[in-house]
Amino acid sequence: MTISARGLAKSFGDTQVITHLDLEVAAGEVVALLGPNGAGKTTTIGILTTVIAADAGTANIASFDVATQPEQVRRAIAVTGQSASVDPMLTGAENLTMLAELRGMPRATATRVAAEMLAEFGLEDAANRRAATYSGGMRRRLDLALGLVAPAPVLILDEPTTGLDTRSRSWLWEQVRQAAAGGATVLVTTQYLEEADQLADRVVVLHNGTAVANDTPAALKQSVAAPRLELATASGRLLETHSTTATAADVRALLAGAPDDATVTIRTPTLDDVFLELTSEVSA
Amino acid sequence: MTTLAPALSRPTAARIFVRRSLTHSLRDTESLIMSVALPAILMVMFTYVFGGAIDPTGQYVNYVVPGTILLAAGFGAASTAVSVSRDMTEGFIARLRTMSVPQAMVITGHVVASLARNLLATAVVVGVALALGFRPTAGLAEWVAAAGLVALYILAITYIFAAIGIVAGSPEAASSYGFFLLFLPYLSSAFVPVATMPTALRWFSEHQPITPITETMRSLLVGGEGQPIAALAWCGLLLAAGIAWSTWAFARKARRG
Repeated sequence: MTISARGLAKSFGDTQVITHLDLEVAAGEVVALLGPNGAGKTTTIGILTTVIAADAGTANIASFDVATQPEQVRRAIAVTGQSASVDPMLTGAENLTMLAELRGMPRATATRVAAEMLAEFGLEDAANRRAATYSGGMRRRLDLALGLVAPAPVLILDEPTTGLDTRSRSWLWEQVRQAAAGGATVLVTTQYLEEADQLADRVVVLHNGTAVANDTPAALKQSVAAPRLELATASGRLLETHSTTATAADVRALLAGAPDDATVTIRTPTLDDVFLELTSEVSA
Repeated sequence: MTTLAPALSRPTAARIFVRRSLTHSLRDTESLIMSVALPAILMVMFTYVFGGAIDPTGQYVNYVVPGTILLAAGFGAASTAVSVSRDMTEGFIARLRTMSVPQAMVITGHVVASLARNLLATAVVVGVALALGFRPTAGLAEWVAAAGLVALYILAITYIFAAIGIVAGSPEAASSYGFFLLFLPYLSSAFVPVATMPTALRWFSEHQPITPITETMRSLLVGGEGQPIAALAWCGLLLAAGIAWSTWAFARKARRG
């Protein structure tokens, strides 16, 4: 496993943020860590990126222990945080060149890579403008470029699309997919269920500091409910539902008395259903 | 086999962060103008507004130059606290904490930029003073010694301001905490002889670092009796304290939570 955590626990004062967390991400896999605010996602990322010390448990990244080999872990990971931490006084090109140099590239290579990244992330035209003048979306893109400026075997993205518009979000997902296709192992935290559905090979739902589900998006959806036939009015009001294994007689009965403009659709459970069911069950 | 990013050496990191801080200094036009213009304004003000009342012979400019240099260095170095605090609180250090980078070299970058900025401000003060009638008697050796002493003082006070920036909760707080240090030159022999002060104030003035440093600068530039050993001792002590405090505070902040 490229990322492996066993029995992680962490408290801040009297607040137990992570109670007991096991997590495994295989090489080349994209795993989404999903959970509501306060579920422990950012604390988990803090532990895995060597910024926060766990109270209990062990975690390894690329076979290095985050507690005892933090320098090796830092050399194996690329991280983007929730806030776009770019240097506002430097231009986009200078930000990227500096980060590339800090990742060990010689200056000439760093300058070339910075130019490539600016083009790849759609910031070519703003390359020589100070980051302070960038829009929120541009800062987020620059922030992600800074995180990815040097190839790393493990990408850890903490709510990377927070504050992005729909177009930028889709664009960012594509970047993550490309990185994964290139062999990177990706752990991404998100509050957006659609994001987890789009990106992840596997979803870990975190609630009250522990994993309450861990499976592929499809399996998670199936585990909550089977697809249903739904009869609804043209305005969307639900009239009747039935399982998808309906007989002709069932369908005739379902349609009996239905208005002519009624619609019949097959509704597949979404990750929203999974999320709500799992988090409400645990809360109850 | 996992390919790891290479570990960055301290000199390489220092070079990168020095370039970053120097770029910040050049881009922050308002601060740069303030750090150069303020000393010039102070020089004119002390010479023309207070000078006539303090020394009617018109020689006050020769007295006040060393103190103005130190006052200007204090103002210039104070911006280091704000810059360091921004790095600590606005995500830059947070990013470095996930990278294999000697993070403390960020402070080295700020210190070197402060030294460059304040030596420029010192040159401006001396230039304005010469235009206002300052007539130093120093030879080359004295000028070199004076420049060395000023550089040492700037380094010392910059490290202290850097430590303030590290421990302050916000850039605004970092800016406020520095006020006490900036006030010290007014309670020294920088602008008036300590002999003219009330007893308690005089005792304080004689036993704080600015007075021996000012007197030594004055003796180097225009002659008279300096206190070189006390000046060097104070600078050394302040520098050691600043480095120790900033190193300790940075390590404490950078430690895993």
